[in-house]
Amino acid sequence: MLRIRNPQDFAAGLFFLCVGAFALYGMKDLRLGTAMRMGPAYIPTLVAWGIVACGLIIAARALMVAGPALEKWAVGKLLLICGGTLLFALIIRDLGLFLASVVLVAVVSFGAPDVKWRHTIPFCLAIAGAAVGLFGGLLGLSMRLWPW
Amino acid sequence: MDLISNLSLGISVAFSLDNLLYCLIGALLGTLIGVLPGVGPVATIAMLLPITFTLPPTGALIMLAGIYYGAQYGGSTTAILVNIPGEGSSIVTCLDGHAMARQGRAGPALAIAALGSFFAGCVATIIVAVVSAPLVALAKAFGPAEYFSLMILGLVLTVVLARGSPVKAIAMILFGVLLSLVGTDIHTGAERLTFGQRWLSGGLDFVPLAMGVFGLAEIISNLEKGQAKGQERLADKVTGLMPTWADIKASFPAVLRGTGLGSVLGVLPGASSMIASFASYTLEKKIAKDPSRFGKGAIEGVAGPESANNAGAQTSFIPMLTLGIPSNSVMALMIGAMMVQGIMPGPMVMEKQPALFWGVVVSMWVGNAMLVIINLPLIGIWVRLLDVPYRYLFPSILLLCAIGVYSLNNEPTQVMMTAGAGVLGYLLLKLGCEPAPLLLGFVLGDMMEENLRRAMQMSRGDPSIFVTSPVSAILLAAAVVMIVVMVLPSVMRGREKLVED
Amino acid sequence: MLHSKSALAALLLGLSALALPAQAQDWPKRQITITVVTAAGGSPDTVGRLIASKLTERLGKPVVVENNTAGAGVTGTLNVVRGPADGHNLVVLTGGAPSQELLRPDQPYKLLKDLSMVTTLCAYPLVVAVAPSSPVQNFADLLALAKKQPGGVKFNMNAVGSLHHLLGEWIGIEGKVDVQSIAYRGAPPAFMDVTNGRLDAMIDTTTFIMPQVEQKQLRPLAISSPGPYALAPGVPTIKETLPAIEMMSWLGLAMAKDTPPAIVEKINTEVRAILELDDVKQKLAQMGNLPLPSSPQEMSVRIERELAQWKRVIDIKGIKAE
Repeated sequence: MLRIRNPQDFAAGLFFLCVGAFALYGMKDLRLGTAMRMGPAYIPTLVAWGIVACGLIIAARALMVAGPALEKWAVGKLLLICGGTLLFALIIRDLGLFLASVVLVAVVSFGAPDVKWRHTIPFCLAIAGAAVGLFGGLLGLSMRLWPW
Repeated sequence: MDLISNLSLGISVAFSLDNLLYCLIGALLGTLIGVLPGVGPVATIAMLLPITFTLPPTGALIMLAGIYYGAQYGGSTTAILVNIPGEGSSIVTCLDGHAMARQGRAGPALAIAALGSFFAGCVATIIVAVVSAPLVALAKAFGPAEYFSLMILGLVLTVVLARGSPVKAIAMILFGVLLSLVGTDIHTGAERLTFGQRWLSGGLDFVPLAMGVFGLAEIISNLEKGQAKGQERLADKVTGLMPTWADIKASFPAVLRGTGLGSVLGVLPGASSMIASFASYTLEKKIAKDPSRFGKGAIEGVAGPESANNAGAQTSFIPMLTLGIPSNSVMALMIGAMMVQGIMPGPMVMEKQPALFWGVVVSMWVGNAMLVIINLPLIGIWVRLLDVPYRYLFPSILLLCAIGVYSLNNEPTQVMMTAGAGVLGYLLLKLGCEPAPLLLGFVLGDMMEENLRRAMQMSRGDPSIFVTSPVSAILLAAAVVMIVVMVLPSVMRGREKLVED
Repeated sequence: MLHSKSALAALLLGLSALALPAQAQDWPKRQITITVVTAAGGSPDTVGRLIASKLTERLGKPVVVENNTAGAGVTGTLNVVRGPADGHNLVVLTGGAPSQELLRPDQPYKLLKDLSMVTTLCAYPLVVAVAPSSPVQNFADLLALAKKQPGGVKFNMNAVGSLHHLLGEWIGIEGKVDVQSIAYRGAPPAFMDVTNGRLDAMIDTTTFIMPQVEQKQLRPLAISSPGPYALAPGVPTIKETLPAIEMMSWLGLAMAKDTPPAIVEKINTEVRAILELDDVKQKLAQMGNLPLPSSPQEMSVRIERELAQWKRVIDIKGIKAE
């Protein structure tokens, strides 16, 4: 009977299958062309099929050779770290570097297990001030620094 | 002899007080700015370029060269300390350099990177002075077919370098190649895999991808583990700043080999100094008595690639100084700076302005010496950074990454891309897939496609062009040999098992 | 009737003359940004920075260059189109902008409709050149080779619809020969391939070609300018062989459509004065460029003319972005 002996690799195989399939779907309207006059989709299609093939091999081997189980995801931390970065991106242009820095540092700090407000707030302000001083002042990058 | 008189002319220029000062300022600024995550050599030079406009031409070029070496070394520093590569050639440094830092051996890793780079710089400077001409002939022998084959060899080396399952490594490389093909196809103008998103039509950028896949994912995973163990700091207790005698003995041959690889490959335009760095890593891993140490803090895995990329950085000046051709975007900026100064880069520079040419060559050596002088004392400070409690360290790193990525183009979409790449990196980590092959595939992918299509267009669809060109044939043969070397041990092992059964 | 109409016009003009300087007077309020949609170090960037540094001296507020290469240049231009029309955001347009617009029907702005032109900055022709060792001695030889060789001659091009590409195809149309355009990312790799004989000829700007000519690494065959070009002495024009062909690439400044005309006028005046400076002329000349000061109208007319000229080439050759 088929049994998944290597859940990590099995998931990896499925992931690559999806990546390949998604790319093939994304290129369905593009011209393939010929080896002499390659169209825009020629090489990416080859590459995508290669990924699909790798995905199949990885998944198939996972049915035969035992391996590590899937680890649990730290979804909260993932959301905090990537979400904080995303927030920075959303507000930097309109509100400037200082506020964007405060927000990023405040949000991601909650990813640490031992976060305390009385440490975090002064830290946010200090590091945002340092960022403005360093990038806006010393390096003179042309970006908005303050909301006004 | 000509060489001696040329070099003594160069020495008299490079050792003038002004030029020494420019070189020092350049190397110092380059190191300090290049050490910010997300700010690689190109960004550093672009930022500091205006300062040099007011200097005399020789001084300006010497200072720019200093900034370049400084920024590149600064990039390696971030790779070692916080596992964030600032550019292609420091991806490999992350592997063992950061592993060493975690074991409390950041000091030796940084020192050996500086010393290896210095040695490589010395040798490569002599190469630039003595054999520029034949190396230019080598660069001219490379057309689309040859570049394609070189990149194939590069990708094969990547598979060898990866730990764990080769199939997974191949999948990651192909994934990287696929990501590099996103955006407008220059041959036909078609938009590929952009899903109607306009900001994707220029393609994905290396820095946001590398920051996300390496930096963000690493931070999330550290936080996850830290919580489990109640760990507060990133690294074990620091056990000494300088390499031990055993470290140096282990590193020296690696430095020699890395220097050789880097010097030759650096001359070729494109991503060659990066290919040199991972070719060197692969080589070290292959000839090591115990390859399993690699990825877990093997000092040869830092010494070899760091020497290779510095030697490559040095010899990449050859096409610029002798042909006026930039071999990478740093050199393109340098040429821009030369033109602002009223110098036409090209073969005439050597004849018409020998003082400038030889002054710059000698100052390469001076710049490398300055780097060692600046950085050996700084190591103590960098290592201290690892003592900062992680709850303060990681928000600072993230902020620097976000600002660095934003400053590339002043484009918020690139910071969003970094966040997205962070999710991807974490996913790959959980699936047990190493990110290095992905990034290497990404850097080489679009160049490979371009050269392949160009070659096929020129040969009017005849693929034999790849084997009738001797250079290309040799490179492809080397790639085949590497695959055999890689596959053979596992086949042999399989046979042994059968025999045992 | 006629009289009263022009009186009204005069009155309006007078009113606007009173009203507009008020807007221009408190300008510039803050930092002025010049967006360059190509990478740092390229010719638009270098010229942009040169102009920016001179403008900073003259306007008393910092004028900075911002590179935005995202979205193949569309994003940066779009930011200026959509940004506040208060005269603090400019974009450097290149001679490639009109042909790009023709090839990209989905481009989210139209040059003439959504931007107000300020002034052109400089102009430079493209040069057709070969390796010094090439048997091709002159431009007519090249056309003869294209007739003889199966598949025609191989040129380099940048992306589809770049000026290199369109000029190559145009030569094909007028010379009635086949050309094969092979894509390169920038001049250096193409230069390597033409010097070792993989390409028959190379098309690029005077900025790139003339230094190579001076150092005897390339031999120029013909130049695309309408007449002899001061910075390429002795190089015949393409026009001498194919009379229909003349073109110049250029760089120019543009701003959001609704920018007050007085501000546009003010920048126009300042930039024209800057282009008269000796050191500016000299720096441009080093890059193979001649200054090309113009009125906003002249710049619009130039773009209009080029849109028509490239449309013809694109239609005949069926060039399209897939």
